[in-house]
Amino acid sequence: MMRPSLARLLLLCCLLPAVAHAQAADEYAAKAAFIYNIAQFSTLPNMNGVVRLCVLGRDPFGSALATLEGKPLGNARLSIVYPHSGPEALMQCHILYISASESDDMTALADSARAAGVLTIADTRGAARKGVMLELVLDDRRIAFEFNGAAARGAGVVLSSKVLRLARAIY
Amino acid sequence: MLPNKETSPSRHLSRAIGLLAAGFQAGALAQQGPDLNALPLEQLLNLEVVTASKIPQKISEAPSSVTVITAEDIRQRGYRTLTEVLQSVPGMTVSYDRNYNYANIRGLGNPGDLNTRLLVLIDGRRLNDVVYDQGAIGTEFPIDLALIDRVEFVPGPGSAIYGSSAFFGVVNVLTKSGGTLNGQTVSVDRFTGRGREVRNTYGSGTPGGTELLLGASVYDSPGRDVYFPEYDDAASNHGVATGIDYDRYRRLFAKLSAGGVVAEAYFGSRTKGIPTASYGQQFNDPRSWSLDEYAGAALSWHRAVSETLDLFAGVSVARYRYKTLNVTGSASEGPTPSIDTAESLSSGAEVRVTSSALRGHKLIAGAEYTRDSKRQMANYDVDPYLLNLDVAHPKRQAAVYLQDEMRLGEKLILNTGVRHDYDSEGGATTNPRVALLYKTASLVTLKALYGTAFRSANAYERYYTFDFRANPALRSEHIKTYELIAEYFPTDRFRATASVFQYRMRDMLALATDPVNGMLVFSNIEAARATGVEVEAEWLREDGSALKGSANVQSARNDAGGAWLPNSPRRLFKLNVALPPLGDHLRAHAEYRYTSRRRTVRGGEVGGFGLVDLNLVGTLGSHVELSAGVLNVFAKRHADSASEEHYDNSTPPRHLDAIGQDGRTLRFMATVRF
Repeated sequence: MMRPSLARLLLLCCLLPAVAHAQAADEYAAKAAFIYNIAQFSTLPNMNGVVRLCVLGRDPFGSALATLEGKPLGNARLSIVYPHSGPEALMQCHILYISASESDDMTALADSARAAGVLTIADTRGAARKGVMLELVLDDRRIAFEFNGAAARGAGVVLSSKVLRLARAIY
Repeated sequence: MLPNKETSPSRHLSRAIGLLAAGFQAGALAQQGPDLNALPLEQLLNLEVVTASKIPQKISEAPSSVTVITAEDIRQRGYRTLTEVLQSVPGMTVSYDRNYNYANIRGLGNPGDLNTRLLVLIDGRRLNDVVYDQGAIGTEFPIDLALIDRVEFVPGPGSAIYGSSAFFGVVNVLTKSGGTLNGQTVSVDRFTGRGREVRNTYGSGTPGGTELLLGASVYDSPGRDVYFPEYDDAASNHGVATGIDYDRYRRLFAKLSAGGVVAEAYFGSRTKGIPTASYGQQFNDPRSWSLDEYAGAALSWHRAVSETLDLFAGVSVARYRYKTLNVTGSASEGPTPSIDTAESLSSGAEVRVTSSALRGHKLIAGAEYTRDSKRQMANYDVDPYLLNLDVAHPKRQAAVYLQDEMRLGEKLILNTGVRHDYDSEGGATTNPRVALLYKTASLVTLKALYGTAFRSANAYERYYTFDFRANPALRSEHIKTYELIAEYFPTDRFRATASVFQYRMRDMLALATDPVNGMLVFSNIEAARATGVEVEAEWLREDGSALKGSANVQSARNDAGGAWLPNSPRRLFKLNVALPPLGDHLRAHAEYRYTSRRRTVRGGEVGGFGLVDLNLVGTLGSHVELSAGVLNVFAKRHADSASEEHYDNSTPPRHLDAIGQDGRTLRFMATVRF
């Protein structure tokens, strides 16, 4: 009784890959594409030929960001950088993604990024209220975003109105 | 006799890996999709995304090494008991005497000690009773696994937060909220040996709003015939206990939450047949059983007053009832049944304040008061009625604690905690905890941990006098632990840790013989230490597959004479593999656990063994889920150590050295969602 059913189960295991097929988009692949899209619709201070997109803290993107390396952005090209600290990031970056691992320092980072003219992005809850310019949220399994206009103005970052009208909330 | 030969873990492992390789290949092929970077913004915002699994961030900053097993892990692996959950935790083995399950953590934990040194919490509240301090982790654990959001395990001393019994580790079982379950589900389960279970859950509400969660389940397993070589003779059914390994339980759960107020209640009642003839019973007598019944209710209130201030207050009541029928007395005079009972009733109140108002500090201060109004044990012969023991010793406990997470610059966190406990029976004790965390530039975090814990002697050890002498003057047991951890956590999907630990125990309670009257008596006599290394790595791959492995090398010895402690494996190896999703509807999971040979309580040995478990979960449409599992796929013979109480009523008594464990077991679960 037991042996035949075990054999059937194992057989099932081996046959299953045959029916495997593609799935919905990975969260961070979609978020990376979103960041690229936003970058295309933004005017950033201090750009000259290269736009550095930085990830500060633990990297949630996996291989998704690598697909953006060298992508055109107007006359410039996108480059992905992984700074080791907040001050280092503010010296190098044009766009700064602040990982959830840095959430304790979020407010301080957002403030100094505004002063340094860096576009800040995060996907920790409440980031936009803490002064991060773009907060990515998942809403019913879809990507949505909130925008902190005061912070962006302070930094001299301009986002196209085409983008802004899609925002879920603007502060 | 049982096989004592050491098995190489590699043979089973290679078989398991071979089986899995094909699946991974298939998963890689499934990873193709449109170029998201080319999509216009509007389309991107309308795209349905799959939330990636992440290793929780806060693990890294915890002042300990935390293991979290989530509801999704439980679902994919098909776990049915808390024991199965805990067996996947690094450093943990669980032995089974066909009545209770006993945890061994990093080499420490006796078979038969009822997990008195493991604190089990349900939503942060103590489940261990006040008569035996028993930590329920087997089928007597009262919460159905379908209602669990996650199980968190922290090895090492937790007395600086939780007080008594948080000695070798703390298991916190956190239940789901009604909103996450949304709707009704009915599950019908089947297990090898005609075991059956029916479960019903109902959840409603929206997360954060008013939420209701209800659960009920009934389980009945007739069990197997169990063979004990020590009892093998013609007069004892050739060592086979027939039809006495049955296991039955009923469970109820309810939780209502709204705006920071949570009310919850649970009930679980389990009856288990006792096939081992423990405590001098007549072997293979079908009358012997034990009943464990847990019931509890709690009301709590939680409010974030401001961004920096958090308040929590709660009241709770917990009841535990134990009853067992033992058939004792010599076979020639006709063995007679006697009943042993225990009643435990505690009610308590707690308050907690969390504040981050002081820059660079996160402070937690709290106070607890518990009244153990019922703490009773009795023993009587049934026919003729004769009361052998009836004692009641209610007590009170109170505690205050303070913790501070202090940031010393960007890279250094100092986490300190201290708790002062007062116990009307065991006196006062203070337990500190210190953790220093240093974040290096290369995404490596170094942690140095020190902590102490205590366990106050329980009512059974102090006052039980049926077979042995009471000793109300017992002191608490104490442990000191040192641990160094290096953690590499570069992305949300990969984490590796290595840890070196030493646990030092003193005043440990053990049975000794009174020199005056020759009776057995519990005394504070033992000292022991465990030293070891634990390494662990977890990798959540982008194709949805996941790998998690851990290995321990450890040694636990008695300070006097340096004897190797019973039930303490020196090497452990665990591997969990979740295959990539096989299409949208199917997940497969494989698990391998290797335990090296262990000394038994009676001085023998049980051999090392490696076990492979497989589980497959598939959905049919949006309403039906099927789960099929094979435990111990290769039907590996293995055994756990018996303990002092495993002897029958022969003269002289025949003692069990080891207790055989289940061979291959199948389970099928069908769940319908309405």
